[in-house]
Amino acid sequence: MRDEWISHVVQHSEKTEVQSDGRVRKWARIAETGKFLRVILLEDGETVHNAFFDRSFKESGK
Amino acid sequence: MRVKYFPDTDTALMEFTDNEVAETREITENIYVDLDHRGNLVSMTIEHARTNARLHEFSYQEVAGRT
Repeated sequence: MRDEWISHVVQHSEKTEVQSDGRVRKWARIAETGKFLRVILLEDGETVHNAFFDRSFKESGK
Repeated sequence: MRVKYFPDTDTALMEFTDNEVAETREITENIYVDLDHRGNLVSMTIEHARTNARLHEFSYQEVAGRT
């Protein structure tokens, strides 16, 4: 997982949702991998908490 | 199996193997499982673990079978 991929998602997210706990999830496609990366931010909307490639996002076409 | 707890975010990480993660699946908003390329469980993440997993009661018990 590259830091620049996470930064890309944070800055250029294609979709953003706020979870029930106030944490924020963002998705964006990473060109090098062809996959969608999900980044979860803490309630402050800035601190990166988790990041992983989200196959379900791609399949559902959200 | 290793259990790591991150108190600043109340996150529990259960590590079952050291295999490379090929896929992460969301079970619920607070539970994720990581799988290797064969679909084997690599790790599981539980968010808000104090309330969702009663982490403070964590224990291991081996239950003997019939002899």
